[in-house]
Amino acid sequence: MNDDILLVRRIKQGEHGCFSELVERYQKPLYRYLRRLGLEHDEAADVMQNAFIRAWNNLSTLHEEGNFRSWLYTIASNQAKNWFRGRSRLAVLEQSSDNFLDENADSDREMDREKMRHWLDGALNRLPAVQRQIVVLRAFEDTPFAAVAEICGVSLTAAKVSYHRALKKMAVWLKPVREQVNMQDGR
Amino acid sequence: MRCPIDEGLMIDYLEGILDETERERVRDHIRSCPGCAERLLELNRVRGLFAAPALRRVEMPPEQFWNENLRAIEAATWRMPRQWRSRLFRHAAWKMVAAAAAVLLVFLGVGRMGVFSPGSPSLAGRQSFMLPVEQDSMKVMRRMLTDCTLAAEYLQTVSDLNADTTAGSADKTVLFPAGTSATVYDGLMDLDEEQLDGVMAIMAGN
Repeated sequence: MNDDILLVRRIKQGEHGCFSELVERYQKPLYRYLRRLGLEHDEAADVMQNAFIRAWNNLSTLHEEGNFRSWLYTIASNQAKNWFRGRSRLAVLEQSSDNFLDENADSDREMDREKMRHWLDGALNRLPAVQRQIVVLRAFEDTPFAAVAEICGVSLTAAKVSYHRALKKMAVWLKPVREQVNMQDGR
Repeated sequence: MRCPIDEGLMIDYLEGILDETERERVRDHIRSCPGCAERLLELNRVRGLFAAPALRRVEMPPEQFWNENLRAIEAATWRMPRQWRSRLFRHAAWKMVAAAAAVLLVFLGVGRMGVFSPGSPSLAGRQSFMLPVEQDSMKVMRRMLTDCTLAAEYLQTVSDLNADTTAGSADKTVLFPAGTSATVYDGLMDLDEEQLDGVMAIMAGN
């Protein structure tokens, strides 16, 4: 994080080449974040590029250089929302947990993991956009709640409450899935 | 009886963001309440999914993608950001205006002194009214005018000497006028006759 401060300051002082270091540092985590939000590869790549270019063009408005990561994720999140608005949610809903239950029994552990991953993606996509964003940031990116709140544009309390609700929903959705897996494995 | 801890508190417990007193309160209750223990277990299973490396994995594109992505962003950001450009322009514009004002000031000052007017009174008496920058400029210009005038006279003398074919004329010498810049004459001495004639013509206004 401290490195971010130095890099942003150097860029502001005219060392524009330092921006490439920020891109190299954040392009992979940002891509992962966007994919977990439910974007396809091409969409995530486009959103990521646009987010970096917007960040570059508006870097002078970033007054707290240490917040670069949160600020970049906020820009990317807003861009991702635009994608979601313009896209049918039907395809996403097709990946719901029900699909997992309908599939043939297979006790192979690797297959279970794949199925669980598929279920997890589906479950995340079933969450409302903000809850999904909060879960991804908190659970997958290990982002502190304060930064989650900042990125999502909500209060700290609202971020925590959303996270709680999302986890409760997912626990409810997960229960029958686990029961079926246990039944298939004779556990 | 209503349980003293809710699921929000359980999640905070799992997230590890409770202080020791609160943590102990949750632990105490879980030991004595199978229902809450089961709910805590279910929530922990969801968190376990998030934590499982196999499930956290996102299929990442090959290294070539990241290099191309970096190049694409560099190509799009090679210019200075728009906001900075406009700010810089405003900054540069002020500098240009300041420079133009300084030049104007100098010329106004020169014009006010009437230095280019024939028969103008001595500048020495007026220099006390000038700004320091005007005084410096005036000194330089006066020096240049003096040097040029004396150089013209010097060249005329050299030219007359060259044309002099009388006996003993070859032994005559021409000295630099006292107090003038030697560099002007050094430069003139390097010129051949034709070049000297050209300079003379220019200085005579032809």
